[in-house]
Amino acid sequence: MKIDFFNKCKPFIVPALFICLVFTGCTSTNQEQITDKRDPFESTNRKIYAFNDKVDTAILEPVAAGYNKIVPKFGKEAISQHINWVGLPNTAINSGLQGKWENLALSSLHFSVNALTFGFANLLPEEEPPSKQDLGKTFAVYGVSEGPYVVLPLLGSRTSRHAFAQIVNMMLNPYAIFEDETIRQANLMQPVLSTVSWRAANFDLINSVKYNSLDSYIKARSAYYQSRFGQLQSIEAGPSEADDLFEGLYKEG
Amino acid sequence: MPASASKIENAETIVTELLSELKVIQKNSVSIEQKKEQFLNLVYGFFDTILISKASTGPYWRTATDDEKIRYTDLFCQLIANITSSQIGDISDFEFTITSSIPKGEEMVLVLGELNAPGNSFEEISIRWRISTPNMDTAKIIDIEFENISMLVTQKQENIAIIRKNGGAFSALIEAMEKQLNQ
Repeated sequence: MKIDFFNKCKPFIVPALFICLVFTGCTSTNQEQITDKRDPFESTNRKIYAFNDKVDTAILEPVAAGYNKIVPKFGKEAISQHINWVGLPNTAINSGLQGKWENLALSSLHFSVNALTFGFANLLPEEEPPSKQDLGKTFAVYGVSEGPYVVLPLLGSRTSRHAFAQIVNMMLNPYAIFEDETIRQANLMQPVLSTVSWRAANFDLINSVKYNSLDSYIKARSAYYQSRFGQLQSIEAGPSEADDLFEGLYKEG
Repeated sequence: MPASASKIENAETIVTELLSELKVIQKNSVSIEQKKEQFLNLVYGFFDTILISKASTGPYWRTATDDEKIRYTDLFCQLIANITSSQIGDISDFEFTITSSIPKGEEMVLVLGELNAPGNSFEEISIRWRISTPNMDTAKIIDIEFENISMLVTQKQENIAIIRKNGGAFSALIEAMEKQLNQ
């Protein structure tokens, strides 16, 4: 197995540059139209969101519906476990960067033992699963500001900190360094499989946002921030938006 | 029984009662319109609709006329009933397990648990119910959080965005809700 790291990064340079262009091309929204100060590029974000929505309706939604219909429960569980397993090196690296040594050890253990099944079966069901860590969380630990909200073509919505972390993750994908054809093919399929699996698992919730909202863009943005807050709670302590809402309400009387 | 323990018990009871009634509705063979009406009755019976209406419109509640407030509350309850009806579909074999209940101040209890619905697109989902407990006898639901996403927070942000885009007119929100319900 040859290791050729820098050549493996090449495929990601163009998408990374494209995403940087999207960032710099974003036009700030008129102050009067800003619905959330975290989203100064709302007018541009809405256009990209509309594009992503069309792609979802045309391609991802029917594929996910078919996946839910055809793939049996045990199959979906196996695929989901495999996807989690593939992400364990990333979790291990970021756990180390965050000083979470126990989680680093746990994710390394789960990765090596479940490698026997390529992650499709969990051979350590009694062990506590490792807590998923990503580069965005690592940036948060080091105090990097979350930055404005951005919607990226096909990749969806993130804070700019989270989006940048994802791009770096893509370029530093540990599997990308191998030249073995089987691993390379599997590596290329990962984002597709992961996206379909995620869309299928959250089918009803995402469809509810799409079809049962007064403004699905706002609802999706709100859902992202609240969900991300839940993931970052151990890092960025503080009340949730719901806690703030009710505290204010009871104070008003 | 200490006051807080009694409030916790009331909060847990209202959650389990609501879900029991939901199951009964799901198992009955009635039309979609009849189901929506039954869900609507549940909303009025189990939720503090006035507090929810106030919370979901933020500062604009004070600018609304009395008629607008009544109309908004009605529409909001219908929206909840419709969304529940479309999301829950035909699922009737779900189980909710309470994992803990936490008092939040004097007048609120958080009931946390896991909802299991085998055969659905999600297998297990964590839910937090916010229950208003202003006294020992009363408990009403004021918010539900699915995997850290609060229904009320998302609705408030939608509502305020629509009102702001229309120059602060509360009536614009009512129009948008009527349009959504008529779709």
